[in-house]
Amino acid sequence: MFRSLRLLLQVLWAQLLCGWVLGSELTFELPDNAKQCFYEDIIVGTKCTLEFQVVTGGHYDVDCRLEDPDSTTLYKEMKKQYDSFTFTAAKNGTYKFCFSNEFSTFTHKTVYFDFQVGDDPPLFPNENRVTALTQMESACVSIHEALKSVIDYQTHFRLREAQGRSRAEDLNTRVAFWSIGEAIILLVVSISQVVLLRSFFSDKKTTMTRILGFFSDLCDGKLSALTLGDIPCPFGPTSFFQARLTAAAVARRHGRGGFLLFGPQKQNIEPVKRRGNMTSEGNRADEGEEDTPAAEFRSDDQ
Amino acid sequence: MWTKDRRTFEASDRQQGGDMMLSVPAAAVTLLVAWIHPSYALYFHIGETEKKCFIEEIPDETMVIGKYRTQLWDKQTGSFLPSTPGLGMHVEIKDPDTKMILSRQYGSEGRFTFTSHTPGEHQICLHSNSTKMALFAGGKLRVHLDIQVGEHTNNYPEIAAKDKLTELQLRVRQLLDQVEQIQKEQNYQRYREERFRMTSESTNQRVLWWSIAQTFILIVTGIWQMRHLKSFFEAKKLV
Repeated sequence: MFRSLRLLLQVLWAQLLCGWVLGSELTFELPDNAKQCFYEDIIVGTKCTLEFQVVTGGHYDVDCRLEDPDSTTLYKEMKKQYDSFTFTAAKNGTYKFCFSNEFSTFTHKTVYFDFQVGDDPPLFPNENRVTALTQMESACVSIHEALKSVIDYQTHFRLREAQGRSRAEDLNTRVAFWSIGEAIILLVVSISQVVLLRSFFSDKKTTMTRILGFFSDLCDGKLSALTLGDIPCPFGPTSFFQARLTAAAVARRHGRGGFLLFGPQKQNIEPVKRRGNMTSEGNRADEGEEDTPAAEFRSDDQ
Repeated sequence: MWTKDRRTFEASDRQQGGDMMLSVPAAAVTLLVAWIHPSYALYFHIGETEKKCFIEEIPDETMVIGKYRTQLWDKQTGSFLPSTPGLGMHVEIKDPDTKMILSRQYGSEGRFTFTSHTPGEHQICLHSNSTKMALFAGGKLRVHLDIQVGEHTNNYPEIAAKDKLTELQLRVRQLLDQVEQIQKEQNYQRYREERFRMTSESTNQRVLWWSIAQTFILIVTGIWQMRHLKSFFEAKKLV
């Protein structure tokens, strides 16, 4: 009966121990300008180890700070990539350690840390043994410790490899984008060089020169004033036909007011259709000969 | 030496049997009290809508067990309440291909477990999903978290009890599990190194092809420019 009861207690105790965490390792993402703190309640006299490594992000460095229950700083390092710190708890209470990325403006960092508190839970709960370990058992214990350190080295190697791999993948995407971008830029620049060079030597009316010609014609005119609504235009085109065209076109462009044509002596040449508010694109169907847009207006000297 | 130690072991066994009579109720009471508040040691604070994600890079066929417990800040007493009903946490787990493996709502205390089928970075995200928003007026929630991976998930005393192993057999079983974990990790390492090598070779290829292509484009556009301008100037009778 005692045996079964003891077995039950052992199982319960084991279950409890598995609820007791004596070491945690986590990998988390630390956004820029952020600080992340972790807390742990530790009993006095326990030997603890904090190890951290930055996996990805920026210059692969982070600020780390470890404080005891009275807020005394036990460990503080700025911009470190990897470190390991062992200490023995001098006080009972909540120990706090923080990782800070506040010095970085736009890089997220991935940080791995491993916080070991005390030793591993014993395999057998009734560890108040009176006999020493046998040779086999002590050999097993030493192999166990060696394998633990192998696993630890493997973890750190994995993290360094992850670092290298993320850098390589970044490089790959950057090379792809840059090569496509540069090829496009090269083609665009060479074509526009040729086009620009041609335009210097050409006297054909392109759209640009037509628009320029239109405004210069406005300024070369002999009519003194051509007022459209609120827009006074102290110059005018050279011929009456052109004047009408100009007036219609400019009115259309500005989309408001009607126009009245006045000759050089301010005589009323033609009370041309008074239009109400026109839209710039509208009423084109109404105009018979005035359906040429301003950009197509040709000057006399052609 | 082995048989001598065995006898001493059995003797101490019997002696322990006697002591157990007195300490059984005490042990039971302690255990019961400790069971009510299991303490997962590491904790952190989380905001109301904040989502905290943890990354686990694991080989395939590895078991991961996560346990958490939440406590709410009570403004009146100025401390964290032991447990609050109605407080829930939503747990989401994504595999390396960003496919959702697990997406479940748990209560204020929860335990989630999954086994990876593809090697790589798995993401475990937690965010609070409390039913009563008024509870969050203080703004702080304390989350105790424990994530165990691979051979740490094994419960050795339970295995010993189930398979009736002696201490030595149990230790050897533990060593075997550890070695299996190391093997899986090394396999995963080989797979990762292969990916790394492929990425590097792809970069190398891209740089090579791009430099050849750029030289080609340069030469072709140069020739085209010269020919085009020459014909243009000849047409303009400038040449």
